[in-house]
Amino acid sequence: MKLDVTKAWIDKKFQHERQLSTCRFSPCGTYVIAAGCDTDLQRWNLATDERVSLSGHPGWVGDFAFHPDEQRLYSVDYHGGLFCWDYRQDSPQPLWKIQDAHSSWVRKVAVSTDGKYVATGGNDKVVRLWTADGKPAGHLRGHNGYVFSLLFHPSGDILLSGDQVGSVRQWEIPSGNQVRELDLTVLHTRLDNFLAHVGGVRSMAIDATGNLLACGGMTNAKSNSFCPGDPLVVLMDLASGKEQAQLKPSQKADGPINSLRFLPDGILAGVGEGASGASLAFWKTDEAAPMHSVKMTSGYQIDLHPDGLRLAVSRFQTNGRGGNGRHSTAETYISNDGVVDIYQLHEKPADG
Amino acid sequence: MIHSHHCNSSEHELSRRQVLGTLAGVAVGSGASGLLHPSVAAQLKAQQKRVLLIWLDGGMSQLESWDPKPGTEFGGPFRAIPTSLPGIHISELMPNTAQQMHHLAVVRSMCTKDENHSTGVPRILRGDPKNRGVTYPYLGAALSKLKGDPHSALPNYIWVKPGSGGFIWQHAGFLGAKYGALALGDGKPPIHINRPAEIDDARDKTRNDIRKRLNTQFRKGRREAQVDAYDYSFEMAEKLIRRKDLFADFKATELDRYGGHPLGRHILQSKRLIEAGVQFVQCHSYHWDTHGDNFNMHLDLVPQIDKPFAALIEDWNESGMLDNVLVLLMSEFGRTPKINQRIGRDHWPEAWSLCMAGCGIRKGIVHGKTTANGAWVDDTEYDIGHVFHTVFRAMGVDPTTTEYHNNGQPLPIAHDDCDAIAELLA
Repeated sequence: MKLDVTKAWIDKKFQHERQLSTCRFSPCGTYVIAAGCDTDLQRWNLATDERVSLSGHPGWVGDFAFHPDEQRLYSVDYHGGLFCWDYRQDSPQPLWKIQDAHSSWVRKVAVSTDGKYVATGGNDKVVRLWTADGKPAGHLRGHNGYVFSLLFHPSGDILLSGDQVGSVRQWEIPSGNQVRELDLTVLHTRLDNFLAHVGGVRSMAIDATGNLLACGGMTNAKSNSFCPGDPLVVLMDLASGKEQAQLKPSQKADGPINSLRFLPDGILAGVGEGASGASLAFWKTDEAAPMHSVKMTSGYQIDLHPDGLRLAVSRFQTNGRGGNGRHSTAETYISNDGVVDIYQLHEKPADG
Repeated sequence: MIHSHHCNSSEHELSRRQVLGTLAGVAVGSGASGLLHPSVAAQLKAQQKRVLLIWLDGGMSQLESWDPKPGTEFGGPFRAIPTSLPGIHISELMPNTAQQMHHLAVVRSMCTKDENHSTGVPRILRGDPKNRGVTYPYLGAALSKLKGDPHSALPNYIWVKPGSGGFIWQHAGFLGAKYGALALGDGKPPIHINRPAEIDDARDKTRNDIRKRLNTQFRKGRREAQVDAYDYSFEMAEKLIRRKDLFADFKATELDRYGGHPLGRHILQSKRLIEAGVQFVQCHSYHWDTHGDNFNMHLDLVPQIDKPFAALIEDWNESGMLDNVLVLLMSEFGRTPKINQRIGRDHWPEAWSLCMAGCGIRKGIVHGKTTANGAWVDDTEYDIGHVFHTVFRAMGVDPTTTEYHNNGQPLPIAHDDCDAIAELLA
């Protein structure tokens, strides 16, 4: 099969009765796992569609990441916890857990490419480094806002962390020394009449060369209530630390770009939010407008299958009428859903 | 879902120029006495009862404040924490308020009728009475009429708010402009509060005489209410400018305790005004309408009310002020249990919470309850009419026997199908 995002089509759809803010393929390629507005992770077998829940977190699961050993999964929660699982088990139970890894929400977790380190970050503005078996390995201090995004550089000795106020910090691993700070304040807005920071570095991805960093979020937020803004991707040249380009979705949307991922052919894929819909967008990095877009509801995360030909997208799905006021009975007023769409990034076979 | 990124408010209908144009050259009074010291709070018992209404415009989420439902379908990511009231939990976003719960009365079973800001705000603030063909006054104007001191050295009804100020006569409804709100933009006194040094008392009197003559001429051929608004705005500002001390800089210790953000400062300013004798202060905060990114926004917003509100309750309890001042903390509605696709919560009048404390209100009570998922009232539903009855009762006004008279038309002061929430009254 030849990768061609313009021919992308939805092969499977997995649905959950809560919104799903995060989704990833297991490195073994067997599963897609997702989590979000509840305390469980959901594991779906891509071949059989079998669903298994990974239960144990006391709070909403903020994020999770896989160890390259294809056995372990690390998940973090909004009560400050860091859990480690053997995700392949029939009924996965935590191998270990640290309930107070952080003093408040842990929003993000990342695993180094060599599998030696796990990084976590969240509302205490500290990036914490752990060994793969959960021993503390460092506190990386410097952020002035909540940590919204974490990314290990493919070299293995660089960690990047993005925050609420538009700062990306580059840390040396394992020393934890801050090497430099990248200015992404274009992704943050705090007007005089705002009561809160709006925006932030919601997502990061790095290309195969290891030199092009894509940072997603939104700019020009108009208020801290609807939080509407202009979705934006900023490409940073890591060698110089300078901004290289800005990319925008073509589909009208008013929320941040929540997730980014480079594809094997260098195309950058991203999803974002919109009060009236958003898109899955694909950019060539030298063109501001997407080369291809797929209209959809708000999207929260994307991930590329190890085969390089499948993309998982966790997105919103309405469940009955929403918006202001009642418009329904107690029996029909139920939570909106989360969906993971599995896109095939190639032409649909004639017999498909 | 109907979205508007700009919520219009009626306060913008009267321009700053209209209100403040008459203030130029006004004399600074010589009677700048100090602030009321807490130690003399007992003296207030012989004086009028007062009200501080703290209004979180747009709608604070009940699930992220007074009525948390962690671990449920709509509960959100925040935890519930224990409070000083045994068995009662509120959101972890309100740790300071949690320590003051034994002074508070929380209603968790508000169920009102309007899901829109534009109609809902005035509807709530007027008490949503039955339609009798007149525009009812806002609560502040109503209490100015019913309880205000016409000879007070300060305006009876002041509105501390972000943005611009002015005289908001529309709040008075059929009562007439006299009972409107003097709005202090950003909590600051009216501009031109300082009389230029080169204008002495004699010259200032001459200027005022001219102003009065011009006003008399101006009144000819114009609507009475409009001209009254000019006159009353001048009178109110004139009262305020004699009290420049009320607008002195806050101490660092005060800002540390209440917060240096706008809401902290505005609650401090409101506290000063109430302590100085203002009968009703409405303290306003905008931008609680979190249709987008609700949880991140509440993470930053709720602490901005938690800290100053808890400090106020604690301070006024210690000083005794709370015996004489009713504090009401509310919005026009709550927020939807459902989480929308921008991870926001929309407008939800069906089941929401408000808080009262102080004068005439029972301490340490949480009244009413919602269903397990927080979506609906699972008890007696209370509309805003019940709240108005309760406030009037707490202020010593019997809403079942007291009436307004509008050109001979008797009008009930609160919705005639509602009663006070008896459980809340001390």
